Amino acid sequence: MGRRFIVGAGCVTWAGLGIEALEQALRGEAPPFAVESPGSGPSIDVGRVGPIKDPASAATYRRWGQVDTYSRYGYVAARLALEQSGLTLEEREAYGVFLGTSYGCMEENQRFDRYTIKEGVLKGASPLVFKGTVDNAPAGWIAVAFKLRGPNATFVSGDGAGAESMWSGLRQIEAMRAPGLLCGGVERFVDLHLVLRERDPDWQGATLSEGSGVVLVEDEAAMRARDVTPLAELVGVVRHRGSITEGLQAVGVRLGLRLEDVGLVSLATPTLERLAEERAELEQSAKEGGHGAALEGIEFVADKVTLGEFHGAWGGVAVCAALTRREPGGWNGRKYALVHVRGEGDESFYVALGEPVKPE
Amino acid sequence: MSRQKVVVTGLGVVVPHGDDIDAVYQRIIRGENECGRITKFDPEGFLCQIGSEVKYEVEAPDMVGPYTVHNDALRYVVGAADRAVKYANLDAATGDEQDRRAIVLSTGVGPANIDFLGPIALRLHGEDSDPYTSDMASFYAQAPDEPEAQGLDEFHLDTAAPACAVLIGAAHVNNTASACASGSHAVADAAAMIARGEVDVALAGGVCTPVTRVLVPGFAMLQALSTRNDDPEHASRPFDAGRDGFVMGEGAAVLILESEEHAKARGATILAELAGWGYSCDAYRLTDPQPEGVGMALCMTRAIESAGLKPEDVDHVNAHGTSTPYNDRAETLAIKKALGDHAYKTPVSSNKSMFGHLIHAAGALEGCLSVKTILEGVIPPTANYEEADPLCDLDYVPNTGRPAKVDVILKNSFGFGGMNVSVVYRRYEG
Repeated sequence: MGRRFIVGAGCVTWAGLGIEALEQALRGEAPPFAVESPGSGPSIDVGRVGPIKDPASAATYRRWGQVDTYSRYGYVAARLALEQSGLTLEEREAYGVFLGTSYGCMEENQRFDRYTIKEGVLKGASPLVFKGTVDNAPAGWIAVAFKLRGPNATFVSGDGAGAESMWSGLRQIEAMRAPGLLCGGVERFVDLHLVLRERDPDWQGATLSEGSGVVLVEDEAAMRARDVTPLAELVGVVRHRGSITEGLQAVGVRLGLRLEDVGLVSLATPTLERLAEERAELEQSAKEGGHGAALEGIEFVADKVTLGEFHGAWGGVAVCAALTRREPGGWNGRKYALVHVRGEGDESFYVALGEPVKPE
Repeated sequence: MSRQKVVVTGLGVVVPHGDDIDAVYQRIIRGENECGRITKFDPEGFLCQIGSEVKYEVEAPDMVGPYTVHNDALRYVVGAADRAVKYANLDAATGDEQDRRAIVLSTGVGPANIDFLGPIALRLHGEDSDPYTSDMASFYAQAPDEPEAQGLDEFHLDTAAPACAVLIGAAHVNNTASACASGSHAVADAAAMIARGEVDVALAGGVCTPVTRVLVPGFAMLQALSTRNDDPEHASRPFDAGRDGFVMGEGAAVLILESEEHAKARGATILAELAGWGYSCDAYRLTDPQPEGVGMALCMTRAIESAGLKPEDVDHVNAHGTSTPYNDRAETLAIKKALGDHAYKTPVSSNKSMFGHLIHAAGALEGCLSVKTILEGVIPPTANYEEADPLCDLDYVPNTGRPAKVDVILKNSFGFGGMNVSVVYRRYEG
């Protein structure tokens, strides 16, 4: 079975466009979160992106003006990933788009509902508004604008949707249905959650953030033919039910990785307190299993604490964040990084990234 | 890696024609229609006032595991899944066996769109004087302690797949939302998981309740819906020269897929083989198909090749056939591209002529009917076909079901955004 590599990455977050902005945010150099309140409730931090006027994206598509805000998040992230990959228009033909979202087009639906209720749909609403109320609008716009005629799908499996897009995208490549796919997630939901948080005083999650994270995953042969340098190997995506400890063990077994070779574990944990608890549980379990030393040298991070809660986009954003943490030689001097994304029920996804060694 | 043979062992539906797949199929081959004036809201003044609704009391469990079946969409899909599981005589897995089972559901927008998002939007915009404020208040009054979990589930039906997972004891849960193509997309993805050996059993299908005050006028604005309001039974007329759009339909449909090895080992009755599938994207426009049917043809060709078949092996095409001017013309061209001269010898029919377009559930429902066609040997007709369109010049099986030995069916599903999925169902030869 061939290997697959990430050859481009793009993201859209409150910190700005591109993984450079994400990197700044992780270093604590981004502007602070906005503080917002829906009305009578307490103010909370939000990582709102809002309308995007991106001249570089506008230049890529003559109908950019019709693209709704939700879709623009994914569009810009995809554009950045495609540009970094160096794929030409001709080469893109067989490539696909798999995106995940949890709440998708909530805000566009709100707008359309408001038109419908208040103003009467026949006189008040624009067909362009309605287009944005469809979950798979971003994947559609991206395919149309960049002429990507390979498999195209949108997954709505809750917070795991972005990781599921990678899990499923890898299988499309393995089945030789496409030489590569844009995979990741897109989310726009801050307004709605502001209202709900007001009624949920016990909520202790991360800051609400919206946006998109997208990577271009490419088959080794296709990448080799184009002579590009990958950002990382996408070693695999493992789905597992149960504790994180068991999940990491399953990753080792299924992908043939040794924990001693893992330098970074990014956990989908919303608070530092929870991160400390999870790390302690891992260390205890490893100790009991006689391989406690394997965890030494692994850096555990909870990027949601810094970046916010992206729900279905988290898989894409978290992988972009892990890419920014890579240094020459890998992650903390080791070959692999693991990105944990919570799915539905007690299932988790583990995205395994490998040191981006250019294939011989 | 060797590919596992994928077979169909169970079918379940909750659709306008009924909730017994055998009876539904009989009604379909007789050309019976369930389109009518919308009753779920007052459509007066709307451009499109017709739909295809589930008008009977649906029997379904009120609770599945920890999940409350608290709205129509959940009732439809849990009801369909329950029937499919019983059809397949499948027990819920326990222990490690759960890791060998998956759910792949296509879930559309839930029924609370208008009752939930609209009022919140009004509140965010400071329009508290609107009459819908009272609806918002009643929603809050009824909301349980965890508003996010309950309220947002109403929107995306996030609990549908986990609830269905309880019925078969599945560990893996997947939701797709590829618009009108997603029912077949769910079936194809589930089949792929089995073929790769990742799971032994998958419950695949879709549910949609789009006959709402938001979606009907929304699709009407896109000029996708028929406005034959005074003659709803004849409104959905795929491939007919007088077609003017589709009729929005609601319901759910589910198939139980298994590896042949697993089905045989438990002594299941194998209904058909799911032999191949293909995907493509038009990359043309968001709401219109590529007019020459290039992407659709590519998708069909990929599905046929995936099944290890040739175009001339296809006995019947269960068309996407929406009854929109653009789709039916492009699909006709695409079938001719994919099948070549064999297209003119191949019966093509659209089930949507009788129950409209079930959006996220359409591909799964038409997949169930394709399996029944193989088993029963009568090709469903394209109802309301009265006047030939010169641009649609294939054999559309007009108005009357046609007895025929059908071994291979190509099922097409195409969607918003240019997503295309084709699935090949084949007679099972043990």
